[in-house]
Amino acid sequence: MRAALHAEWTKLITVPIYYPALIVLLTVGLSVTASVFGGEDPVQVSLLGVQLGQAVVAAWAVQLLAGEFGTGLALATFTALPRRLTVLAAKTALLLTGVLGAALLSVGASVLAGRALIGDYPALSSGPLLRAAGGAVLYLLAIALLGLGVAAVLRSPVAATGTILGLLYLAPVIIDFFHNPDWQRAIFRSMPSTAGLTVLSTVDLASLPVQPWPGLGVAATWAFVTFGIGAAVICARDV
Amino acid sequence: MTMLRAEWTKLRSATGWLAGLIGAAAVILGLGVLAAFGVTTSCGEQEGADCPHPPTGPSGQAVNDHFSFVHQPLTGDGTITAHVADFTGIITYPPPDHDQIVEGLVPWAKAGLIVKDGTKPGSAYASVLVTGAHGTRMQHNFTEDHSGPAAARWLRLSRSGETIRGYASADAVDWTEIQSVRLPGLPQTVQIGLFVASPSNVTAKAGAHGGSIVQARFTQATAVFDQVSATGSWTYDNVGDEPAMQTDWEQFHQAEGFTTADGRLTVTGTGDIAPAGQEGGPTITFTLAGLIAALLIVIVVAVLFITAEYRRGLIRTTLAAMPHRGRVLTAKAAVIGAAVFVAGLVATAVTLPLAGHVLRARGNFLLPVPTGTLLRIIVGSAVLLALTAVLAYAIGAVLRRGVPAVALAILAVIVPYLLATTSVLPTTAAQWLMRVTPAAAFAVQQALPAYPQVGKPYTPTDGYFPLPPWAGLLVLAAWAAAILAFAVIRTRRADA
Repeated sequence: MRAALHAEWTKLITVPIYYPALIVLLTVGLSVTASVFGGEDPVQVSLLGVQLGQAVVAAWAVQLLAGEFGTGLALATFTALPRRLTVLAAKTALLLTGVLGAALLSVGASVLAGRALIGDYPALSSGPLLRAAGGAVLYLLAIALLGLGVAAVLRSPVAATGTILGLLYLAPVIIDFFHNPDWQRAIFRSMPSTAGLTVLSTVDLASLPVQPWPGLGVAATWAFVTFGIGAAVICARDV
Repeated sequence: MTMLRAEWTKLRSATGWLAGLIGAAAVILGLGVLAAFGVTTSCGEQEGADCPHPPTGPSGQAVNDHFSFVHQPLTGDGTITAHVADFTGIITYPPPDHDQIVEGLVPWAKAGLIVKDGTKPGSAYASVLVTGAHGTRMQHNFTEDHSGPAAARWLRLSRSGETIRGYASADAVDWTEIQSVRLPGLPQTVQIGLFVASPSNVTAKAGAHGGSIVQARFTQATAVFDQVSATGSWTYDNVGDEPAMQTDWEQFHQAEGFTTADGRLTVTGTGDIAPAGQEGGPTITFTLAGLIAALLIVIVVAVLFITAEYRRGLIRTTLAAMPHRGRVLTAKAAVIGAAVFVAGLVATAVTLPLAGHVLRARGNFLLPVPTGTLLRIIVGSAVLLALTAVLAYAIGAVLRRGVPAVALAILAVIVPYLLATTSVLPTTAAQWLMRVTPAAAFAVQQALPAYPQVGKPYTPTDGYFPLPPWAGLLVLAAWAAAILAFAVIRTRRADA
């Protein structure tokens, strides 16, 4: 495992690291912009950047895993380290660590910016704020796992990026087009981004189709199941 | 020409890409029909019972036509003059505190003179009026509005055949003609008289969970007319009123109506005479639910169309065969754009009429949309798809790597639309997103025009965009052209 970690670390840092920087930049950028405008739910407004950051997290996960299949590097990796699950575990550990760092930094900066910019912002120790901020970090980690899973199954980096971003961004838009409240609720409760991002809400929770923690649970379930399928596929398939 | 053919051969012989384009068209059709089947309208207890829906005006659009009308018949030509001696009103529970009923007029509260083809809601009319905050106006047939002198309180309306002239004056001596309008097909006998209408006090705010929440609050206005020139006996009608929808204020404090004493006519009314917006019901455009999914597929195909060349080194063969690099890149852009346009046009041209048929067959009401607008939405949506393909392709040509190119194209086109229509961003921020980002092109899907003379917030959430349809497409086209130009310059200088 140490050798695997070391190998993956070397691969990770010898190509320019745009992704973590982009996560922080886009998340904090949109959060601060939204905080300038303000809104009904100060906490959710100050964390709006997660909507952008998640795309970069997903793209990073896809690049890390499917990028190797695209260039044929995967063949060399699996020849040198034939235990495929070890390779996957090393990649996952590094990605999750990287995403955790970037997420902590972006969420922390977003909350501080929100507190500085929005008038009636809750105290830093308030329960709902801590839940939303912690939930945002966990959500981004779940998206990283989901990205790895989709990439492992699809292997084409471009198709994987399109699929996962579609999974994240299409649901909230398409819900608006269906003029059927039952369908809208069903889609909202079952898709990872709509259900998962309820963890950012702190106002009028009763009107949400799914509550924050169960909502995050939906996103986590998507992540674990897809990641599990991805791991099984990596073990079973030819490189 | 050879270049175009070479690139078209590449596009059509990669089965995945062709399947992607067909899939994008299929998604538009499939989700469109699904969305149409998902709607069931029912009012009251009975499933599928007929719902009340807004009347239609002379040119076929849905309208609001609810006002207090004190009238008498006029046969042939004639003139009516009146002075608006007093104009007051109430607004129930306005912001910021929403805790009391206040005195005041909403900006588009209306009191004045009107000539109307009977009292049926939706019939042709022309009116000259004073407003709460927009001075005197001449309005006719719901969509037309023309401003007159601001301070005038004397109004005059004259009919001669199908021509109606509206005048306003501050002192009953110097009259200004505001406008002369024609009401084609106006019968010999019309109803002429005084009217009062007071539209709801409407505000929009960002919803706690995203989108915008539009709130409408009941208002009522009372006008005192004196020096009325007409002398016959008056009839009162609360045109377009639904007695079942009466507010507490109307039931217990003051009902709409009219009283007369000492030559002064006091008229109390609510409602509005104006074109109806999205609040009147759905328009056919919601059946383009699949367009956003199709955009995503098109982005993936367009990015692959260029990045695959770099990945496989095919670009070196391509450039060896056709050394003019700028032309090669442009030819590829033209091919992907044209292919996506054709696929998209077939999909939207089939989906909208088909979904409309399904909706009507299942007894749903759709706000009428003129044929020209429908054609614009069909063709414009295909152009939106094609320009997005060119944009994604150009991003791919600049970055040469698939993953960041796909992510960037989605962040440029789809995410701003999502943030503007469903996120917690307030309306002003949402409108800026829909002006400057490539997502401005979604304006081409706007089905109903926004009218300045309707005091209503028009938000992206409700399907109203800040740019006119073709201007929105131009913004996307400018983005695509700029990035394509950048890609051409880069490819000329860089090594393949």
